[in-house]
Amino acid sequence: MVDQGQGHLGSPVMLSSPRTSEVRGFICCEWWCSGYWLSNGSLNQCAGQVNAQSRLMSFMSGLARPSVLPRSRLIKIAWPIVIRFAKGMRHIDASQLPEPPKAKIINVVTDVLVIGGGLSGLITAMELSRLGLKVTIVEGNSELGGRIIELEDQGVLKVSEYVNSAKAKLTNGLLTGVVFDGVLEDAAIGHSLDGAKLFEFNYKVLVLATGSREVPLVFPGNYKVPMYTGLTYLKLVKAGVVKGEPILYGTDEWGIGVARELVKLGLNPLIMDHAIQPRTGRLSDLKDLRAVMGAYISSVEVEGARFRLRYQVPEGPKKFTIGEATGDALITTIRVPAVELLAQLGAELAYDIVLGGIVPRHKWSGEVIGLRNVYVVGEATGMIPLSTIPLQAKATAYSIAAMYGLIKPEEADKAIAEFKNALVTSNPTFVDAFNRLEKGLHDVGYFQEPNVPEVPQWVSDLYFLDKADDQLICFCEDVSLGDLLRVTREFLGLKEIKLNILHDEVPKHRELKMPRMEYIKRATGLGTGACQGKLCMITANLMLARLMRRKPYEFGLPRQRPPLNPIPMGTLGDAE
Amino acid sequence: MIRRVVHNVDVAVIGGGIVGLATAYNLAKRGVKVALVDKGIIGGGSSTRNASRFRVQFGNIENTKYAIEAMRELMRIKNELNWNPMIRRGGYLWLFRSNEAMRSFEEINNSIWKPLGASVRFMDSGELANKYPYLNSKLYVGAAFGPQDGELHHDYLMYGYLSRLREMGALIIDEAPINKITVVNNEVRSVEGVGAVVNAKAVIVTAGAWSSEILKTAGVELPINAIRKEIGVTAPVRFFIEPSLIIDTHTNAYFGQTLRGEVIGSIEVNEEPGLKPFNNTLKWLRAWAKAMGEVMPVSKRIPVMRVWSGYYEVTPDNSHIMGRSDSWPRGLYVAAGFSGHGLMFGPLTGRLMAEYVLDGKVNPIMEPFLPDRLSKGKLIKEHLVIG
Repeated sequence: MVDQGQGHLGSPVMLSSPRTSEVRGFICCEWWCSGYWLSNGSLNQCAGQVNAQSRLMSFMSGLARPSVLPRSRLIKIAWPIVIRFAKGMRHIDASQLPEPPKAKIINVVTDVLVIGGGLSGLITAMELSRLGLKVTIVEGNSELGGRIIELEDQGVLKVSEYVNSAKAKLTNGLLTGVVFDGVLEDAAIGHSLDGAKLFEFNYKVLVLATGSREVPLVFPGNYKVPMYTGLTYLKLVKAGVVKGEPILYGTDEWGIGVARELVKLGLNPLIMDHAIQPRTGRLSDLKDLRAVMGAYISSVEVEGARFRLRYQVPEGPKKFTIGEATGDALITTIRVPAVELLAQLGAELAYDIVLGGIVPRHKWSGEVIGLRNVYVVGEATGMIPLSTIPLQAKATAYSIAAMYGLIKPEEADKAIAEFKNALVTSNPTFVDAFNRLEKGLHDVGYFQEPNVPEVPQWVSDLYFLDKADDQLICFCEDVSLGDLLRVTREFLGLKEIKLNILHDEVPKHRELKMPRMEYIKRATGLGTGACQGKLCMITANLMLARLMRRKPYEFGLPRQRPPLNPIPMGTLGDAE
Repeated sequence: MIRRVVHNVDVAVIGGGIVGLATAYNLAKRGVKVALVDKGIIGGGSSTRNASRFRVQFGNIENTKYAIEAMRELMRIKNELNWNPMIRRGGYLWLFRSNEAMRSFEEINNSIWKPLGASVRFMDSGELANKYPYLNSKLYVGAAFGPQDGELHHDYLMYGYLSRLREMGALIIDEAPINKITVVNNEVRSVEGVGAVVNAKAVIVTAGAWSSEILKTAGVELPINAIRKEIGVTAPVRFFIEPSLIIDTHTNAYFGQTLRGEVIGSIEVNEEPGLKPFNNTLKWLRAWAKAMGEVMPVSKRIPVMRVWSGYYEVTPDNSHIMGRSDSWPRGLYVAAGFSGHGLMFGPLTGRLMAEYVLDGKVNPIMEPFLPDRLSKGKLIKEHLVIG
């Protein structure tokens, strides 16, 4: 958590696993990450506080793997001794956590509650307010504007202007530094990140403008290098905390935006992606930038503060060009839609290749199919081009207003048509993707098989499965790709999994019923760590789908439990 | 069109929780062809929604005897399973705010637990403050410590059974909504649901809170009611709560710490019975957090990370029902209504049920729990229910 308001910016530190003491190099300073290594910045990596070393001896780290520990005979026999090690897991001491201030209960009564104060949330809120509805925005960060505001070059948009006019127009309806924790049976709750306020929300319509989230890259040795999210690195460079030679992975609109911003700040990032063309679809976007495309990272060597990445560029069946790159920071700009609130509410989530991951099924108006009075807007609906988001937000706002009879339905239809036109002009495949979701055709063979070829969380792909144990998926609970595969095999009752068979050749493989992610979660602890699955769940689901040649829904996603961000017990219990 | 697959087995077990898994496992070990059917995922009902603790102290002789034997079975079975259930016997610590509460515990201890070898050790508030400095000992006049009690990893226990069942070739059918037991000529014939039919000579209902629903389709009424209970865990902190479970007997708030460092616990709030959705309430969440801050002040600093809910499957006397009644269709058995003790009683129940079904043997410790006690009015009154 970077507290820009008060300027607490220390130097980021690499943490170690409480389980094995190995280094865990994922560095994220975003507001929701305050829950990542314990709440409220008390273990704030970016303020330079770290957890202590684990006592578990490193030779045991192989046995400590989440899929091995419960099934190892040796561990079972030595259990009375192992318990002592387990109790020695070096988490922070409870007494070192800050005592939350005496909390106040605040009741918020509003017509529309907008979650997320980024571009789409701001525009939706201002349109709704203009049309006569009472609107409240809940934003976790201390500043409005979302991720995009960190970029100086926002194309035709000026997010800071939206922020300023929102501040002027929605004076009482802006809650920053506040998390919406979800819907309990008797209340919709939230809390301020400092623990001083507990919110109860009363609303008629919920708009989720939760955007997207940068997730860790998956490749052999991915936990050894300092890996930053793009947003974190930008903030740290601007604050003068880091300055170096980063390698930036990911070439979508945001990734290239970060790269250009870093160039402006005097850095010279090397851009990398396993996609052959930039994900924006425009080769010209890479102009004047250093880039290696089509590169799968195969290994990493750490040399002091620097590291050396080896990568392969496929040139044909079993033919690769091999290359090397060095740097002192790895930046991931690979994103997935942030859908955990939708998962908590029980929305139907579907995979769409064009939209860049798992998104809620929704209509053109943004109405989420299967939920009442819940709308979704912005990148949570998929990675649509930034320039179309204002029109999408307008379409959603008009649809809500039409439902309340504030405007004629034709006006909402017109707003939707404008948004469709903008999408067609930018990239017609998005229109198809939205139509598929609306009509429920997302699962019936509209995307090619084997599935999930381009969704971007990993950078190592099928080539390095022999190093699966060295590819970490969940940084909180040390779950690796190897763990996922071992557990999947266990639940399938198989001795081995032949991953590269095609389903036509071995029909038996198609008949195997894949274990639900719920099983995998319970067996490995995936997603039960301090990030609550925000960083790993979708990655794990899509990787398994790809490797097992299945559709993502065959694994499903576990139900996301409230609260969305950890709430100190003192805040909950003592609030008045 | 939904394809209905027909299976033929000797015994069908409905409900893939701990009781069903243990029953199927003990049957399969004896060479019986068994099918385990669950409408959701294995262990997804109540077996993995609990605090995963076990104890030997109960409010009457029948349950205490059963619990002692159940604990022995748990210790024995862990060597047979492929997964390590990670058992840790940290003991239960019961806290008393009044001398009366403590005295009533002392009475049970002398009359029931001591003779059976399950006694607890009492301590005054001074010793409590000394041993457990993190507790707010000013609130309490004393405490009782049951050293034999402990905790386990419920998922791993479940998967230990599951994995052995798979090895032995048992049929596991999960995510198959079973909605009917077919009875022909007063004899069970099959269990049926969307997507699957399982023909069987015997049907054992181990469906926990859903048992009375499925038993109705065979014409059997059992008073098993679901009561929703909520529970939560915090973010991990360094291990410091040595007892497996600490119970404030005044509020019935309870908590312990997992080996991974999460504090797990809950508090009793009034809840109307019924199969309500697996949701949580702010009312409960705040009550729990408040109670935790009271019992253990440092917990105010610990953030709650995840909350969920599950059912207690409650019978009129808070004790389980196992076996069958002569008035039921032939081949129909039940083991359900554990009223919050299913996980700890499950492994033993599985073994006893297998003996009962295959050999017709009624083990003396099982006898008080036969279903006929309800119609004959021979209730076992169990008051020591936590949470």
